Order: sequence, then C-alpha cells, then structure tokens
Amino acid sequence: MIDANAYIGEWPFRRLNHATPDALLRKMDALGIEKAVVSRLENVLYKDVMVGNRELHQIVQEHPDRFVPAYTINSAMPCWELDFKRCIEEFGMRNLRIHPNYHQFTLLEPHTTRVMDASLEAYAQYHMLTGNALALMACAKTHDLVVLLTLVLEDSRWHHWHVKVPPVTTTDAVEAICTFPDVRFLVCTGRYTHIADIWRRAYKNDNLYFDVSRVQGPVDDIEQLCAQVGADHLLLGTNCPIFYPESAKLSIEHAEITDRERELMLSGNAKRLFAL
Amino acid sequence: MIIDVHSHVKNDHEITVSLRKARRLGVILCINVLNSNNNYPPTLPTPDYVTACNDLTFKVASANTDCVIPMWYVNPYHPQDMESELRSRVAAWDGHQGAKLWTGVKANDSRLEGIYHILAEHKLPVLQHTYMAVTGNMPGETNPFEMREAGLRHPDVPFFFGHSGSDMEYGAKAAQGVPNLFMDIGGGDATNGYTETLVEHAGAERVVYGSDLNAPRSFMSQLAKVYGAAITEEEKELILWRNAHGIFSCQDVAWSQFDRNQEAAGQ
Repeated sequence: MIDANAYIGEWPFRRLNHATPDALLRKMDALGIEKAVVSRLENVLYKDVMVGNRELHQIVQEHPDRFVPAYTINSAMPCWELDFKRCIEEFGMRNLRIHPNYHQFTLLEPHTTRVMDASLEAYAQYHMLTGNALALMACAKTHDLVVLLTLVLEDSRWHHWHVKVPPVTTTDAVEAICTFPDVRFLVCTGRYTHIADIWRRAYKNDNLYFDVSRVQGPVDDIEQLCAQVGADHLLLGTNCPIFYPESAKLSIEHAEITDRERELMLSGNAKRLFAL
Repeated sequence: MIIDVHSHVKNDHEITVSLRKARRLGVILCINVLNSNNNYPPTLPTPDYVTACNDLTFKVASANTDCVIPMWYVNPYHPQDMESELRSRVAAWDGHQGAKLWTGVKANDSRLEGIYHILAEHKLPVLQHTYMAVTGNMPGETNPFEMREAGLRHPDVPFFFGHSGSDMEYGAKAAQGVPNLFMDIGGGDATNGYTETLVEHAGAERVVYGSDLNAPRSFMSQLAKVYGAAITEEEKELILWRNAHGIFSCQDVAWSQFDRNQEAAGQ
C-alpha cells in the first residue's frame, strides 16, 4: 500500500500521535503501508516554508525507501520563486504541496494566465506585484510536478478560536485544474460531496486525482465515487497524523468494489502518479 | 458484537445498503429517522413531521429485528404532543429502544421535563445531539455546557452525548464527574486522538461507539476512531459494545433476537 497524503511534524493545537518520522514508520508498518508521500506539517503555519522543507529533505534522505517528499511552496511570500528553485535544484522536487487557504492565496485570478507561458523570471517579477498563485502552477507545469492541493487540514468548525481558516473552495480547485489541464493534480481531503462536485465541473480531468482521507460517508461513499469518478482517479491518502490512518485504509478495504479497483486505489494509481 | 448507538437512514437506498453492511460487520444499529424526504432535516419539525419520521423508524426496525434498535425522535418544542408520541411508541415496541433529541430546544430546557420523566420511567437511553462549532451553532443546538447541566439535573436518564460535543476537548471535559453521560464518538472526521481524549477524561466505561451513519458518515471512518486509538483491547471492547449493551440491558428485554445477525457475521 502507498499513502498518497501524509505529514510529518507537530501541530500547535494539540499533541498528535505519529508526528515523528519513527512513529509514523511504526504506524505504517502496523498497517502494511510501504511508502508515504509526506510534507512537513509545520509548513502549514510557518511563514518561511524552507525551514520545514529543509527538515523534510533531511528526513527523507534517512528513509528514501519509505518516504516520498512533497515540498511546500507559499506563492504569496516575496521571492517564492527562489524557494521553488532551491527545491528543484537542491532537493530534486517532483511533488509540490500547496495550502492556498492557510497561505492566503487564491487560484481564482484568471487574468494572470497571460504570463503562464513566460519565463520563470517573468513570473517572479509579475508575482511580486500580484501575489498570484497561478504563476506557481505554471512553474509546476514547466517542471512536470505533481501538485498536492489540500482543501482543509481539519474540520473548520473545530478550529482554534483565533485561528479560523476557511477551506479551499471547490471552485478554486476547479479553476486551477481547468486552467492547467497538463498539470497532474492530487486534490487532498475532499469529502465525498467535494470530490463529486469537482469531478463534475472540471471538464478537463484526465490529470485529476483525489485522495480519500476525508471521504468518510455516506455508507457507500467509496462505491459511489468509483462509479462516478472511476477507481483509476482515487488514491489511498490518510492525512495522518491529523486523522487516524485506519479511516481511509479500512474504507477502501471494506468497500464493495472489485479487487482491481481496490488495488488501483491502494497502490496502483500512486505508483503511476508518483512514478514509484 | 458492535452496537452503533447513532445511525440514520432517510431513503430506501440507505436502508438497503446500511443493513446489508451492518449484517456483514455484525453491527446492531440504533436507528433514528430525522428526515424521510432526502432534504436536510428541519431544525424545528412539526409534530406530524416527527410522527412521519418515527413511522419510518418503526417500519425499518420491525422489518429488521435482528439488527435494529429504534430510537424514537421527539421535538420537545411541542412538549404535550411529543410526550404522547413517545409514550405511544414505547408502548407499541416490545424490544430494546431509546429516544433521539436533535435540535428544537436545548437539552437543559424545562420543556423537556416530561420527556425525561418518561425516559427514566422506562429506562430508555436518549441520544442527544450536541455541537460546539467555533463558526457558530445552529438555533436550539445543545452545546457541551448545556449537556452537562442536563446530565447533572437528570441523573436517572442515561444520555448518549451525541458527537461528544464534536470538539473533543470541550466534550470530554464537560462529561467529567457526570456518570450518566456516555460519550458518542459518532460524526466528525476521524480525528487522531479523539477517542484517547474521551477515554482520558471520561473513562473508557463511558465512551460508546456511534457512526452518525448517513449523516453523512460511514461505518469504517468511525470504527477507525476505535481501531486506530492508542487504548487497550479491553477499552476498545467497552466502547464497541459492552457499555451500550449494559445500558440497554437495564430494559430487561432478551438479546436473543440479535443472535441471527451475530452468527451471520461469524461472531
């Protein structure tokens, strides 16, 4: 099995199980998860994401057979393109994690698409004036990255009193997906209704994938998504350590689907998407 | 055996799939219908609407006595009608049963006094929906503070503390020292540490498995809160069925009707 959506790190609002690399590895071993695509959890709230990215690179180097890194870039920060460049050149980035809600950028500014075919330097100059994320997506396209677009980390109704962060809307996600149909998007933490909505509205969806970490109902959620979206676009993702990883794993294992569909979701699609 | 104290159905498809999966997993479903028209259930339903919901609950429970315990829905905004509704439902059912309170009025509202009297008289547990949303609760939605007050004022009524308040830290702390509050783990994302927090503050003997099935949850996402929790196997067994079994056993009704379900699931 391959977990397409996990994190390593601490969360400021409560103590988490499986937050450290060793603890996550023990949990993966217990559940039969061979590899996990991981990002640094602290980068959700750090302003300088390179602190977390450096730590992630170090961790992954120690466990290259178990962890697949997805580095975080915040395109709302000045000179984000230098962070991007370092992740490409120093860390060999192949997977990009974005948190538009926590990092305060939007995927809904279509006028910026006029620069999407310009040079990297042109994106940078343009973006320092606009703070626009679509330039980041264009860079992802140029470098053929898999983009992990996280809609939420946890239910926004349970957020801290002074840290209330609305989810990324399905409209934002659809805009990015349709503007960059050549970019491979893994939309993370969508509920059943979110996934069905994005899939229905994203008319260019060959490169669109979803993790099922937050597909937690109704009673036949996985079966219905396999029928609507297709098992070849759905991946096991756990959102661990924010969620119990057993949720996604058991949901797939107990779904009334074919063995072939189950195999695709548990590992086949991830192997193909992440070239593992 | 697994006893799910918190499950919903609202149409034929959900009934068929939910019961098929429950039988396969060996789950006894405590079912309540809040809505039989596929829309979001009204927060302040009329007595006729509540009766229609209970008619469907009765129909599902009657046809599936091997794996369903009915939880009769009442909206105490109309106290006389609802006391009559509850008394007639209880009298007409000869197996295990309970009640369900959603919104309408809050758990500590005086309009519930008559309902609580009936619950205590018949030893019926009541699943009380609770929530604590930082984005704001619905009108008439009980929060953990109000749940605690109701529990303290009615020690002879066993409460399933619906969703454990949703925000686990609020719910777990509100239940401390109130022995008739049983923390329902159903609903909400499978948030890591949820069950451990409830066990730490309320104790494993006061945590019960619920799924909030179809509203909009699934079995496995909510069972993961038990299977994935860093607690002992004995504590997991308490949560999955022993605690709820003990509460319903106060009704002095045989459990043999569920044997067929358990045998089919290999348990």
